[in-house]
Amino acid sequence: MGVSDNKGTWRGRAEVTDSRRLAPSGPAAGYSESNQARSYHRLGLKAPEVAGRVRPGQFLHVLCPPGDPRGHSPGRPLLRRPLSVHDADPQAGTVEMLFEVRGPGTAALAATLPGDVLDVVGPLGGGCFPVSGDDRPSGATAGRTPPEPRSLTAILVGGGVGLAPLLLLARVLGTARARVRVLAGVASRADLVLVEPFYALPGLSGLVVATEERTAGAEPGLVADLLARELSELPGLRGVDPGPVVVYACGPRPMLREVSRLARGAGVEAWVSVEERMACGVGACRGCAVRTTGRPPYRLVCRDGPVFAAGEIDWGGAEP
Amino acid sequence: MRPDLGVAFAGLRMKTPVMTASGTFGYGREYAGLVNLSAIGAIVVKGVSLEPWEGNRPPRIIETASGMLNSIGLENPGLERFLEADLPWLVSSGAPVIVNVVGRTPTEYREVARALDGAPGVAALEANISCPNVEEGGLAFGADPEAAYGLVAAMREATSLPLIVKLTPNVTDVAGLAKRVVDAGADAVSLINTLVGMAIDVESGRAVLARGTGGLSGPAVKPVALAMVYRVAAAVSVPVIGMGGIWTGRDAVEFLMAGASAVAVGTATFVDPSAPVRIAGEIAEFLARRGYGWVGDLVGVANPGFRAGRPSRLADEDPVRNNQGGTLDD
Ligand SMILES: Cc1cc2nc3c(=O)[nH]c(=O)nc-3n(C[C@H](O)[C@H](O)[C@H](O)COP(=O)(O)OP(=O)(O)OC[C@H]3O[C@@H](n4cnc5c(N)ncnc54)[C@H](O)[C@@H]3O)c2cc1C
Ligand SMILES: Cc1cc2nc3c(=O)[nH]c(=O)nc-3n(C[C@H](O)[C@H](O)[C@H](O)COP(=O)(O)O)c2cc1C
Ligand code: FES
Repeated sequence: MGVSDNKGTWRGRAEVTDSRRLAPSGPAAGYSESNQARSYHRLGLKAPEVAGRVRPGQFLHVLCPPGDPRGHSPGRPLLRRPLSVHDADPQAGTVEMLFEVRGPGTAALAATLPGDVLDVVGPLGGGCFPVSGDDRPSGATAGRTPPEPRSLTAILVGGGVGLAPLLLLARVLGTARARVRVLAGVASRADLVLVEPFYALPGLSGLVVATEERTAGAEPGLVADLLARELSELPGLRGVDPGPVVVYACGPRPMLREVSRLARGAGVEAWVSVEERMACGVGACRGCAVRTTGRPPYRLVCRDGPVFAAGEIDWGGAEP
Repeated sequence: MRPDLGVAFAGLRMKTPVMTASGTFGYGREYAGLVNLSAIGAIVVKGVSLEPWEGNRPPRIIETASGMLNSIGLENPGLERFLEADLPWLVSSGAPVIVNVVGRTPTEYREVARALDGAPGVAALEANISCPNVEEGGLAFGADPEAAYGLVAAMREATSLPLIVKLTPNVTDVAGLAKRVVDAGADAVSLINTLVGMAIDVESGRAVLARGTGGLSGPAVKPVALAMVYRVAAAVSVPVIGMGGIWTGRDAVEFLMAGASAVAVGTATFVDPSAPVRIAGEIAEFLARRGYGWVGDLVGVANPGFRAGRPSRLADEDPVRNNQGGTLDD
């Protein structure tokens, strides 16, 4: 494991180009606790230094404007907040983030307006979703060359706001001519706004949506159920095109654990993006440790991840 | 004329009085590219132990009001790896290197001190007897003046390098503790390490940190840290290094006025990687505005009982340059 010296990391001021709350489209959703509770936001930034070289799965460490706009959390946010890059346009020099408003940091970011300027560090994350031979995933699988994208069937599995980094991944895989299938899981109808950006993506070979709460146009249940079905149909799929299959996933930990189990059962390679709370974001504080099956047991989400080979994560134990 | 930021004390020579706080700057390399390492007064590395330490179960950190709690558990790759890889790289970066030392037993502290004694490029050792996040070592020594005395005496025997002892705020009589470690041979004392604190997730009804409690740092602790520096600087004869919640040059000047010869910046660096350089620049601005020619003239001015060691000026012919003032994009 080499120590990365973050030499290529950029820190600077990024102008907000777009800042909007994602409102559910279509007829107003019926009332439910979860509908009321969740609020999603999209933030566009002018950051050519990032847009030109970010890899899918990498994140930005964003300094949130001080002061919780709701006044609920005195003295917060203090630390930067990690947010995945949702999309990037190297020509325009812009990047986008898609986040759920959860606390003072994301609330402060949601209150920004176009023209505001944010202090950003990135792109960060030594382990991205491996797409081409240039992507060097970390850990046990370091050095392994990912399959040639042209022959690849990529199954992208996203749960809730975990769909955010999968858009850039789908775009990059699509450009590399992989066959891209997206399985999206959200809680309820109001959360379908998280899936909308994928409809605009050219050349997806499939997009299947599951909602926990029954919703027209979506399958009832969990996204892991979709993956189980997809994997069970693989032998047929492979009969048509015997290309390798790779699963890429981001979402809540229980979902990732299940994805990992299913992929292992099917003998399919899987990559997962995991979260831990962060302070420095650059490997200095050792705050974002995740338990792995390797030795030594802890690896750093900011430096070695956030994407790890699914088999490398220790899913058991007392951790939530 | 540009104010002189250089200080020399306890065998250390620093071109600015601002160093990094142990555990918040890794081994320097992590921040290369985000700040000019050679412009930092001194780089204090993460605690180094004889053998690699795994660290604690996650979650290890959580933000709190104007601060954060950490329970890292002194994760570090151990002495051998530090000497082979981390130290040579950092020494080549050009900043003086201070090695923070941790152990489970006095023997381990002594062994690490001995091994570092001859290591090229080490400017000083900082004995961490104040970490609240490990079962053995750390606070087990630092909260008991007699245990602290024994440990510092053992290290003193093993090294001729300047020996800084880092004190915990989690005691009732920090000045008494400071005196004992000076009796045992400390060349300087640094404080404060983190204050024991905790946060509870009311939804799950459990402590947020896996280990229950952790150490509080950041602006929330600054007034406490300042009072402790003030008390220690009136009790010991050696120089004091002050830290705890320093965010701006003004904060740093408060610590200097309380009696610190130098300061360290920790949590602020997570937010602003250039903080150790920025703060030095802000101190220089303060000095210029108030007509001070040298930063050492601030030391202890607000402390009537001040009797701690003072810094001296770096010799005029000294090649170390004042190289502060990084920008946002550096
Ligand atoms: C590499 C990485 C990429 C991320 N990308 C995205 C993204 O694209 N979109 C998005 O919506 N969120 C993302 N997150 C999570 C995001 O960073 C947190 O939601 C955010 O920091 C919360 O800050 P806050 O001040 O709004 O809320 P806080 O008050 O800090 O937290 C609100 C709630 O979220 C939990 N939480 C906070 N930080 C984390 C974390 N790092 N991991 C797990 N739980 C946490 C807290 O326990 C609390 O329950 C990412 C996290 C990581 C580590
Ligand atoms: C994440 C983290 C890790 C730390 N690790 C160490 C350590 O290894 N050794 C040590 O002596 N102090 C350690 N400290 C304490 C700091 O060096 C410093 O004393 C304390 O954080 C107060 O300064 P600050 O408020 O500027 O951060 C750590 C602090 C933090 C926040
Ligand atoms: S957040 Fe500091 S090491 Fe990962």
